[in-house]
Amino acid sequence: MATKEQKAFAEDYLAKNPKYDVLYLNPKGEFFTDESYATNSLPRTKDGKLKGKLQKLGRLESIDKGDVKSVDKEEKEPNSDSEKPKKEDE
Amino acid sequence: MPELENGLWAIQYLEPQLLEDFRNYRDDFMGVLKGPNPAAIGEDGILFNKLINNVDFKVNANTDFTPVPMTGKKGLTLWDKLDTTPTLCTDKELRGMAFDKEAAIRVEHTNTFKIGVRDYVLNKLAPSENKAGMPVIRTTGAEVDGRKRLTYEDLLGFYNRLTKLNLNDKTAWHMVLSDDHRTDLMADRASTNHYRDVEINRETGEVSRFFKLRFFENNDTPYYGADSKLKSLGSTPGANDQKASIFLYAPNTVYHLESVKVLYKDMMTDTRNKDPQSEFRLHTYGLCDKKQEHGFGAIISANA
Repeated sequence: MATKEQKAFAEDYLAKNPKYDVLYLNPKGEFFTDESYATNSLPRTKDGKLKGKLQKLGRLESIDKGDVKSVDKEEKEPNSDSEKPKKEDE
Repeated sequence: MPELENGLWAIQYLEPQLLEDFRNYRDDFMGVLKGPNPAAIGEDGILFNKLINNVDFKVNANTDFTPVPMTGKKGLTLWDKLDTTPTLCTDKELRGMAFDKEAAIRVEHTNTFKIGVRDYVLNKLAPSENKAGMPVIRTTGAEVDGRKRLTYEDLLGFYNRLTKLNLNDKTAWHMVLSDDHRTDLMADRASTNHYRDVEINRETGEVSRFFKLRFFENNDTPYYGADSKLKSLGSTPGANDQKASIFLYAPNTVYHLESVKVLYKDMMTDTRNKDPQSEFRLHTYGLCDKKQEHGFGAIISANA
């Protein structure tokens, strides 16, 4: 759950940067405007699963209502079997 | 010059000039990074082995010897997916355009890819925090713009910590200097007549060397938090976060990109849209990392 300071930061940042609608907050307390970078910042287990959750902080209205959405991420490594890159010489 | 408006001029008999985009395209330091042995590149990533040297040395041995096996450790650097976001271009946009917009879009993708890979690489090579083998220091100079300047003494202290790391290839000590620290060194050089081994190239004006440290200037370097821990790539800098200069010992780096795929959907195959559109994107797999957590470092501006 985001702290009061984190909500205040998100509120202030989104007010100053109207082109963004949400900020993503990782367990380390870092904010991201892009979900891919936020997901990339999550630590991984040895089998490539993501550990931890992202929180999505929206604009003032949603923060006031306590509407802080959590985003669970259980993705596989990009180099999982289905996504292995093919070497050029293959 | 009046304020620029959204849109592009499409005038038949004039050629509106395409304005320069002022972005930081510098990635010259990447030339010193080491490529992997092709035989070590696998489907999961690049594999490394390290022998743990347990060989001892005796003088005037007075007991019999007992041989012991030499063990090792193994490591794996995983692939990352690297992409530019797709751009679409319609037939309607191209009509009457004085320049080849599709070609210009390709150039912009190449530029963005280059900048993205540069930032990705620097973030991977920056030490996560101060630890044995990876010194991270804070500056102690005069306060300026909410931070403390880098002083010559700070740099000497950092250099002293590097020399203790036994980094054998003395030609492979490189530092990516942040914009603020570059200015700090120039200010220091200008404010004293005392001896300073900070070389400023007279032809280019670049800060290029400090004893064995070779400098590369860059306006975009990773951020560290107030706790001196590296901020994740793409995170939004907070009020107490500061940019750092990054030291890297080239032989301990690994950097490799697969061939970049140019993903292009031709508008000639778009039979449905009323304004046929093409799409363009760059995509590849690549990796960059520290081979060992040894021989990296950072100088962070202290908060004022």
